[in-house]
Amino acid sequence: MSLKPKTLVDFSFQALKANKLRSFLTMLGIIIGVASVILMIAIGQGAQAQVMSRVKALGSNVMMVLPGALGRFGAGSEGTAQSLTLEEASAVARLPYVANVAPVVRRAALVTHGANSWTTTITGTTPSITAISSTMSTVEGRFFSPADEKSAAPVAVLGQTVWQNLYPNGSDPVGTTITIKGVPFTVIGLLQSAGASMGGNNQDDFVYVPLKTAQIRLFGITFIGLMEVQAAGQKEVTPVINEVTALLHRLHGLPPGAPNDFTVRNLSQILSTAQDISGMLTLFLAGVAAISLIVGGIGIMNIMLVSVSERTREIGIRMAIGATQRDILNQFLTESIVLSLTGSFIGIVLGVGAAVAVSAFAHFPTPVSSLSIVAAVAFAIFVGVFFGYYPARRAANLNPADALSYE
Amino acid sequence: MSAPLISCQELTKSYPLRGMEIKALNGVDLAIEDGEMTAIMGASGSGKSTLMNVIGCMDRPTGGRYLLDGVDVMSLTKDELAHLRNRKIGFVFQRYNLLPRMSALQNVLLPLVYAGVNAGRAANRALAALEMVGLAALAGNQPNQMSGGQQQRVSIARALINDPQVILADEPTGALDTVSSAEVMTILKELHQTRGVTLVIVTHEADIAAYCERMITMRDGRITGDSIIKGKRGA
Repeated sequence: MSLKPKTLVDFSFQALKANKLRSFLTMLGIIIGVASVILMIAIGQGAQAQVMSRVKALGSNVMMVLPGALGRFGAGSEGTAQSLTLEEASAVARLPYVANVAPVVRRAALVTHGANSWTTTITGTTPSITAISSTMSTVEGRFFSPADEKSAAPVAVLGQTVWQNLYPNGSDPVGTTITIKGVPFTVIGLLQSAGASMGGNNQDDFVYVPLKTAQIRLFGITFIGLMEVQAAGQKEVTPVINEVTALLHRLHGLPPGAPNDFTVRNLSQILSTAQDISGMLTLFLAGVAAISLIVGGIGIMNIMLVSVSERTREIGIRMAIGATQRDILNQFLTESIVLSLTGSFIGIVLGVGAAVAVSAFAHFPTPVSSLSIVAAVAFAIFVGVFFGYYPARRAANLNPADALSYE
Repeated sequence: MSAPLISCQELTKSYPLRGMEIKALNGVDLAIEDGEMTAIMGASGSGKSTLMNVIGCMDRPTGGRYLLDGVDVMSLTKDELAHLRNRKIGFVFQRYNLLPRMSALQNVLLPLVYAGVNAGRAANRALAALEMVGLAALAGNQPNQMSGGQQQRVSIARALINDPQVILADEPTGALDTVSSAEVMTILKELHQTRGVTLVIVTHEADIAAYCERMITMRDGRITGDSIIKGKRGA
């Protein structure tokens, strides 16, 4: 026959109340551990949610066709091969379920306005890019039209960063003239701020010009750097990828089964990569926090060992009046579980409170998952049992006569 | 005559101490009948406390045989020994050994908690036991709110709560003044006479031993004297 759980818990609170400060300090390790696990997971998931919403804003039914085969370092990038042409882009645009195609050429070049100059990336593309990228809208003037494209008009649309550097006094750029690589262009529009991309690139440090203008007037090339292809819907992404791949394979005159000299990349792949990365970040944060839980557990073990040797006489008395080894073991084990559980409850309150505070003051979403709470409590119980067992066994294995005569 | 309640044959107990072997008990033969009130006397180091620990099932002898109520104690497991202490033996210690931060009542009923008696019944029995030692009014007091004599009476109440067959008292008056000592001994004597509890009292004071009916003296781990002071049994 062993003691009832309620009796054991009563004994534990009696003992822990006798040494309030020490009990609290022992719990502190668990409190901090549980609170930080919950907060870190909340922050990690908040970051994940934010990344997801940004990627979704780019449109997950958009894919990119890049020249060059899938290399050792991921997809080939623009400029490493010259295998894509405007004609192929037109052919892709005629495929079923393809909503929009925007061929793109990118080169770095020096841009000047009056005495100011700025080196930036010149992007030559067609007006259909505005349908593909949701951030591509103007706050001043207009984007270039199909007519501008057809006539290779020397017109440019500026990103915010370029405008700030060429027009330091903040004047309206529309209607003014700039030079790109010495060629004069009329500014017809200013883009809204698009912020940083997922890769951390400044998406405002661009000048957009019609594709034909870029090819003929600026770079003297006939090929294109890449094309952005938008499928009619989310469901059509996979068929479009297959269609585009087959078409380009054929147009490039590659024998069946030969490796492609281009790469089709879909944003949903990037999405899942981003998800993987932020998931790993969450796991990493939680792991670091979990280490503090283990440290807290060692604190519990330390104090329980002290407690067992301080209370050797009490153990002897209890054994003299009939406590079995199991009774003593259970008593001390319960004490360390009560310590870690009480600590974890306080930790939950603190962790959830901190998550709410972070989202209120830092305007950053911190969704507290119930799973993280359950996991933190389960881990705390595990810590209590794991680190409480050794001291408890030490107490239970004492010889009654020796324990009683212990000074 | 029935078998004795406590029967020791050739008991030895030795401890290793700095590479030497200390023989605390060196062949003790002892029989104590049910209902006896016995004093064990001896100087410190004579082995009387060790004998008490062995009789109380708190420690195992190194050799020999010990039967308690016909049961060979050497053959029992640690848990069985715990149950034996809980049911058949009551302890009274020199330093009372009450648990701090627990009321007198909680201290007295603790053996019942380990026996699995339900809380309500345990509290009633504990209150009755405190009544018997005249301390029912102090049931809610913690040990540090009571005098030494009162604490010792609480510990007597704790010792008798489970209706043990034998109460072992190790220097029960060692820390008490004369008046409290007399009170404690009167209570023990009364328990012996009214309930027929077997009492074994370890002491080194002759006037305490004088309360008993039989006196055993020990020296160097052996029994050197065994005399009936005033007996129910003929000598």
